[in-house]
Amino acid sequence: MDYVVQTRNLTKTFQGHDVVSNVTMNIRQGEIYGFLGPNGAGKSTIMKLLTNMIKPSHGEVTIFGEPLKHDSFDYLKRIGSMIEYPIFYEKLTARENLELHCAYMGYHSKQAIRDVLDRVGLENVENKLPKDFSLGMRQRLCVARAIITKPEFLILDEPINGLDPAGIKAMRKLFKTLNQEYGMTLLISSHIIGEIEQIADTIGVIKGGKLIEEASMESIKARNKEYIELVTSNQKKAAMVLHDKLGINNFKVVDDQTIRIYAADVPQSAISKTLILEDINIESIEKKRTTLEEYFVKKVELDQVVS
Amino acid sequence: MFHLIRLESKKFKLGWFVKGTILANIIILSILCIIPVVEKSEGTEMLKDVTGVFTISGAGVRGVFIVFAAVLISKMIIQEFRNRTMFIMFSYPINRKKILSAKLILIVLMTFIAMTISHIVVIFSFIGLNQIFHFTSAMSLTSSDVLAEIIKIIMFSLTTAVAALVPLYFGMRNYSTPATIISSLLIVSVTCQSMGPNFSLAGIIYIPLALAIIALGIVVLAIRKIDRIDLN
Repeated sequence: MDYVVQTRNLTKTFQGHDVVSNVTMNIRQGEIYGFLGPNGAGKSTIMKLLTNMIKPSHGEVTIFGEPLKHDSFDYLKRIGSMIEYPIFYEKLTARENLELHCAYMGYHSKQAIRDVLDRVGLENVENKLPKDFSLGMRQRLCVARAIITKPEFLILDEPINGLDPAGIKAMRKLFKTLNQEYGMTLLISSHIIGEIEQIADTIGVIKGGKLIEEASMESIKARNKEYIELVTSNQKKAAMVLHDKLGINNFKVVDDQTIRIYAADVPQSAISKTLILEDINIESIEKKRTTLEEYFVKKVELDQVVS
Repeated sequence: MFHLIRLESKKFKLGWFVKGTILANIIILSILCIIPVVEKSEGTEMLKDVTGVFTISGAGVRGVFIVFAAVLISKMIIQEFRNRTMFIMFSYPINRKKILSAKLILIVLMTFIAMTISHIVVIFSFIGLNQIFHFTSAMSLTSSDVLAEIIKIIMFSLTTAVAALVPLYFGMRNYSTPATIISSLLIVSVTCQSMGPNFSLAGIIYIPLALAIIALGIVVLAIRKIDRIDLN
C-alpha cells in the first residue's frame, strides 16, 4: 500500500515540554485523513513538522516515500497547505496574493485564479485586500491558495473555522470533489467530531501531543454496535429476567432505571414480551447506537460543537 | 535568482523607496546650501572646496541610506517573520537560503544604487547651484576630477551598502523592527560623523570596509542558520 506520509516516533519538544510525543501515523494515498483533537493537542504542530516549518526533536517523517531532512524543500511543490490561521500579504489584493503564490510555486495558468475563486465561493473580491475580508472569506481565500496548483497532498488545519453552515456544506463538498476527482490526499484537522465523521476515511485522534487512536472510519463504526436500551422502574428484577429467562449475559446496568442490552441475536419483541409476562413495568424500550460523538468524547474530552 | 529578486520587489511595492530617495536628495541638498551661509556668519568655512562638499554630502547621503537599508531589512525580512508571512515563503519549493539571499541582494542593490545616484546628484546640483547663487567660493572640476570623484563615490557606496546589513544581526535576534532601525543609527554614527574641517570619520573608507566585512559574516551566519529555524 502506498503512503503519502508515515511518521515514526515523531517528537517535538519546546522548552522541555513534549508538544508532540512519539507520534506514529500513516496517511494512505488517496484518502481523507481526519485529524481530531481538542485545541492545543498538537495537530498544527504535526502539520508544521510535515511541511518542515519546524524540525523534529526526535523521530522521522517519510513523505512521498522520501525521508524528510531539515533542508528538504522540493517535495513542497506537491503540497498545498493552510496551517493555523489564514495569512496573506495584506497590502496585496486577493488576486495579487494568488498570482504571487502561483509564481513562487512555478504554476502558470491564467484561468486558474478565477476558477479557484469560483470553487471556494468567493466572487467579485479579486481586487479587494484580504484585510477587508471576514474570517470566513479569509478562510476560503486561504483554501483557494492551497488548492490552486492542484497539489497531490492537501494539508488543511481547521478549514471550516469561521464559515456559516452553508459555507461548511460547500467546503465539505469541495473536499470530497478534490479527493474523488483529482485523487488528492487530504489531511484535515478539526475539533468538531461531526465534521470529521462526515468526510474522513481514516481518523487520527490526538490528545496531549499523543496519537491515541488511528483507525479507519469503517472499523470504528463496526466497533460501535447497536444495543437495546430498556428503562424500567424495577431494574433489579428486569436484570434477573434477562439473565435467567432469556439467557442474556451481555447487558450493562447504566443507572437505577436503565439497562443496555448488547445481545443482537435476541429480538426486541421477545425481550419486551418476556418482561411483560414477568410483570415488569416497561417505561421505554428502544434500539440505539453509540454515536461516534459519544465514542470520541470517551476518548478525548472534546468541545462538543455540532455543526 | 533573478526571478526571486523580481518577485520580492513586486511583493513589497517599492515605490515609497523611490519617493523617499527623491525627498532625501532635496533635503540633503537644501542643508548643503544652508551650511555655507551659516558658516560664513560664524567665520569657519568647511565647504570651501570640492573635497569638503564631497565629505559632507557623502556623510549625509550614506547616513540616510543606511537607515533606508534598515527599513528595507525590516520590511522584507523582519516583518515577514513577525507577520508570519514567512510561513507562506517557506511553504514554497524553494531553498530557504535562496529566498534569504534574494532579499539581501535586493536590499544591497537598492541601497547601493540609491546611494551612488543620490550622491552624484547632490554634489553636482550643489556645484551647479553654487555657480548661480554663490553660497561659497567658486568650485571648478576637471573631467579627471569628476572621474576620480565618481570612482570614490562608487567605492564608498558599495562598502557602505554592504555595511548597512549589520542591523540584520540585531533585528533577527527577536525579529524586532526597533532594534533594526536603532542599530542602523549606530552604524550611521560611526561611518558618517564629521567633526569639523580637519577630521571626519566619513572620509575614512576603512570604517565602512571593516563593517562590510562584519556584515558579510552576519549574512553568512544568517543564511547558514535559516534552514534550522523553527517557524512557530
